[in-house]
Amino acid sequence: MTRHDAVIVGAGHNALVTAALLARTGQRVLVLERRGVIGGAAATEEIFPGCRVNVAAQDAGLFRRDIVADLGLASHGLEWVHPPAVATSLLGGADALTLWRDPARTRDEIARHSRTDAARFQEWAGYLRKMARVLRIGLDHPAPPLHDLTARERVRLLRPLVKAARVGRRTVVELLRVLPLPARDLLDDWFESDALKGMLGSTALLGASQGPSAMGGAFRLLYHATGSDPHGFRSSAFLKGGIGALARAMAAAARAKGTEIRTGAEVERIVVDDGAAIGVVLAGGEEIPAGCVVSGADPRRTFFDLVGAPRLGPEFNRKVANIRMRGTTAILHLILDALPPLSDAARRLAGHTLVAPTLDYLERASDDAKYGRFSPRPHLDIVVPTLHDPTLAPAGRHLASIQIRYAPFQLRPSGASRPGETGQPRPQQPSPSAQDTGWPADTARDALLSTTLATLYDFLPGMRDRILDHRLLTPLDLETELGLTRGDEYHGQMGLDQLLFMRPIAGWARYRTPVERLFLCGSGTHPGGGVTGAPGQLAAREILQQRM
Amino acid sequence: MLAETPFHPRTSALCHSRRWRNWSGCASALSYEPGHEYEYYAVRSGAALFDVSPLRKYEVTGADAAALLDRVVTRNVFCCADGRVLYTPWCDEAGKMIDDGTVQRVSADTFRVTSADPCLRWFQDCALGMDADVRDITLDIAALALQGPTSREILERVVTGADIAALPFFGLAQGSIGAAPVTVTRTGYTGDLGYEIWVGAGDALGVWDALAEVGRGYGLAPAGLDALDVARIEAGLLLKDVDYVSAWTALIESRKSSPYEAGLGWAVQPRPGRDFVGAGALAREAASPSEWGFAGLEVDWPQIEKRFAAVGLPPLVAGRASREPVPIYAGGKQVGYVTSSTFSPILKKYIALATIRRKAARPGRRVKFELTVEFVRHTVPARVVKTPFFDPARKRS
Repeated sequence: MTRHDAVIVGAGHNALVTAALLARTGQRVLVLERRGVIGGAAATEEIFPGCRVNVAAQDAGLFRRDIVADLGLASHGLEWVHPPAVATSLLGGADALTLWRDPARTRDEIARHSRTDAARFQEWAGYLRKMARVLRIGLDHPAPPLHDLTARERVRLLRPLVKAARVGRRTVVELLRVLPLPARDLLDDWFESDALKGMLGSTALLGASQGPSAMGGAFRLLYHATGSDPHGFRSSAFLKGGIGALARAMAAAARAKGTEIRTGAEVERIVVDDGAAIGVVLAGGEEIPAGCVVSGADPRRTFFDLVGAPRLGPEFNRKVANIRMRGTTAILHLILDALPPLSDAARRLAGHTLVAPTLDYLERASDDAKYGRFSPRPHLDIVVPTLHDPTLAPAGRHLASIQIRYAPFQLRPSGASRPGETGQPRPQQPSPSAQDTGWPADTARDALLSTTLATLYDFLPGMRDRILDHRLLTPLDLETELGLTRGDEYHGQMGLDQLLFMRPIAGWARYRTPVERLFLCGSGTHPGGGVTGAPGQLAAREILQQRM
Repeated sequence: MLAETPFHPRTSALCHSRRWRNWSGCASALSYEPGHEYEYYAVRSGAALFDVSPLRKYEVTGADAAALLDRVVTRNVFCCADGRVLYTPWCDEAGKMIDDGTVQRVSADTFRVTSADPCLRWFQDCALGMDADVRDITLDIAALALQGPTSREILERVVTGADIAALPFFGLAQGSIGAAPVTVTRTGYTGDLGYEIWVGAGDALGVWDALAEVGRGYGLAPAGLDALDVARIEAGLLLKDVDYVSAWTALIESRKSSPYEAGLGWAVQPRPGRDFVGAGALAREAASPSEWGFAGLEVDWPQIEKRFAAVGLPPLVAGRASREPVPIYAGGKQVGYVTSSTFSPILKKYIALATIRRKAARPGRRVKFELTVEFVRHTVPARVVKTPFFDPARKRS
C-alpha cells in the first residue's frame, strides 16, 4: 500500500482546496469523508426524491477566484450564475425592495423609499468594494503570529504592509475606524430608509449570534463583501448544479493529480505517537498511516473528539473549550409547485430573498436567541436554486432553501425563559451531547417550523398552497449530520476577538497544532468561515512551507 | 472577615494569645500561648494538635480518577496502592511548580487531594475528556494534624475500626472516633511521627474533644502555625509562596521553580508512555539541568553570637522562624538566597532552606550567610547539609 503524504479529514470545501493544492505539488493525498457526499456544509444532495438540494450553504460569492484559476476549476465543469437580482427584501404584502446588478434599476427601486438613499447607493457600493478590498489584504495573508514575531515573520509581514501602504493611509484608517462598529451605526451613517438598512444589515448577522446593534457587525458586513462584486449588498454568486458543484470540481482537480477521495469513511481518531500525528483510525477500525494529518473539522471536534483532550495540555484545552461556537441558524428546505406569487418573481427571487424589513426587526429576532429561545419573528434568508439551475428539481417544481435566524443551538426548556433560571452554568463539555440542546423534542421542531412558516406566509402571501414537502434542519441536525460543533456553520463565531492571530485561538493561528504534523484547514482557522476556500488555501501554503 | 474552621469553638477558647493569622481565609492560631516554644516541644516530645482544616481538599472519583491524577502530578500515581498517600508537586505545561500537596488513594477510583491554594479549575481542565469528577470538599471535611512521639498511642486509644499501630508511613486507614467516621493518614508537616485525621465538618468537635480527653495523659497540646513553621523547616519541608513561588502567581519568569530546582527532583517520576502535565519540559530539564537548585544550610551559630556580642546584644535571631529572604555568598559573589530559616531548638543550630546555584548546592560546600546586626550587614559562615535536618527514626517506624 502506498503511504500517503497527507490524510485529510473531511471533504468540506476548505479540505478539498487544501487537498487539491497539496496534490498539485506532487504530494500523495487521501481525503476521508464521513458522509456519502463531498462538500461538507457546501454540499448538494438529493434530500427529496429527484431534487438536489444545497444542504446548508447556498452562495459561493465569497469563493476565492484565484483558487478557481489556480486549480482550473472551469475545466472541471464549474459554471457560475450571476442572477439579475442581488437581493430582494420582502416588506409585507406585495411590497418588496430589490437590489439589482444593474445600478440604474437599483436606484429606481430605492427611490421609492428614499431619494436621498437612492442617490447615495452607488457611492456606498463603491465604498463597500473599496473597504472590502483593503480588508482582503489582511485576509489573504497568514495571520501574523504576534506572540512570537520572529525576524522571518517580520519579513513576511512586509508584503501585506506594503499592499496596505499602497492603498493609502486614509483608507486604512477608515477601515480600522469602521471594523468594530455595529452594523446599525455604519448604516445609520449612510442611509435613512429602514427597509434598505434592514436589508443591508442582515449580512452582519452571518457568523454571529448577535443582532445588528452588536459591536463588530460592520466587520462581518465587510467580510461578506470580500468576494465577487457585492453590488452594495454582499458578494453573491451561484453555481450550476448547486453549490456542491464547487466540491465536485475541486475533487476532480485533486483526483487528476492523484488524490484519492473516499466517502463513507469516518475518521474516528487521529493517531498520535510521541507528540506527532502518524495517521488516522476509521470507524471500522482500519488504520491509515500518513506523513501528516490535516483536519477540515472544526477545532473543538478535531482536538477533543479526534485527538482527545487528555493528549493535549490543560491550558490549550481551556482555550479550545472557550472558542465561542454558537450555532443560531436553522435551515428549512421546501419543494414548491410554483414560484411564490410576487411580480417578476423569476428575476426578483433569483438572489437572496430576505425577511429583514428593519434593523429593529433583526434586533428583536436576536433578543430571543440570547435567552435560548428561537425568534418568534425570525429573520429569513431564502434562496431559490432552481432559478439558477432548473435541473435541480423535476420540471415545474422549485426548491427554496431558507436560513432561519435565530434558532439557538442551546434551547432553554420552556418555562425557564429568563437567564439564570436554569441554575448553574453548564460545565464545558468536550463534545456537547444532544441532551443539553433542547432540540431533540419534536415539540421544539414543530414550533420552529410553524413559526417560520407563519412568518413566511406573512411576507409572501400565497406561499401556503405551494409547498409540496419540507425538511427542517435544526442546529442540532447541523451538528449531527454535518459535524458542525454546536451547529456553528462558521466553526467559531466571526467576532473581532476570534479573528486573525486569535483564530482558532491566540498563538495557534498558523494551521499548526500542539501535535506535530497535525494541521487545521477548516473555517475555524484564519481568515474564517463562509464558502471562501481561503483557510484551505493558506493552510496548504503553510503545510508545504513547513514540510519542505 | 475571616472564616472560622469547624474547630473554631475549641481553638478560640484555647487561644489565650489572641494571635491569629489568615490561612486561606480562615482564622488560624499562630500560637495558643503567648510564645510557641511549649507547642514546639509538644511536637518533638509529646503530641501537638494542629487545626489544618484550611488546606484545600478535593475529591476525585470515576474510572479515570487515577489516570487524571497521574496526568496532573509529577509522581507516578499508578504506583499508589489503595490505602496509600503520596506527597507530590504539580506543574504547569512549562514544568514549573503550581502547588504541592498529598494525594490519598481512598479506594481504586476515589482519591482525595490536598493543596495550599485553589486548584479546582486546573484539575477540571486536566479532566476534560476523561471519566473523572473533581469536587471541592474543602468546606465539607475538617482536618487535624496530630504530631509527635505520643501521637500513635493517643490515636490507638481513640480510633476504633482501624489498626493504627499497623499503619505505615504514608498509609491511610478508615475508622471511627466515637460515632464519627474518620480517615487517618500517617502524614504531616513536622517530620515527626504523626497523623492527620480527616472528618466530616459536622463531626469535627466530637473528634477534637475525644483527642483532647485522651491526649491529656500524653502531653498533648494544641499548637499553632509558629510551632509548625519551626518543625517543618527542621523537616526540610517546603512552604508554597515562601520557599517557592507558584507558576500562577510569579510575576516574572525567573521566580518560578521546577521541582528539580526546589529539591523535589525525586518526585518527578516519568515512565514510558506517561504524559503528565509538564513532562516534556521536565524531561528537557533533566537532560540539561537548571543552574538553580535547593539546599539546606547550617549557619555557624557561634559566629552569629559573636556578631551580636560585638555590639553588646544577645543573638536576636532565635525567635520564630523567619521567612525573610537573605542573600548567600560564595567566593565573593551572591550564589542564592535563603527562603526560610530558624533556630532549631532540638538541634541547637541555626538552619535554613535556600534557593542556590546548583554548583554551590553540594553538601559540605561552604558559603556565607548574610546577617544584619544593628543595621550593619555582615556575613557568617554556613555549610550546605542534606535535609531533613531533623529526621527521627520514629517518623517511619
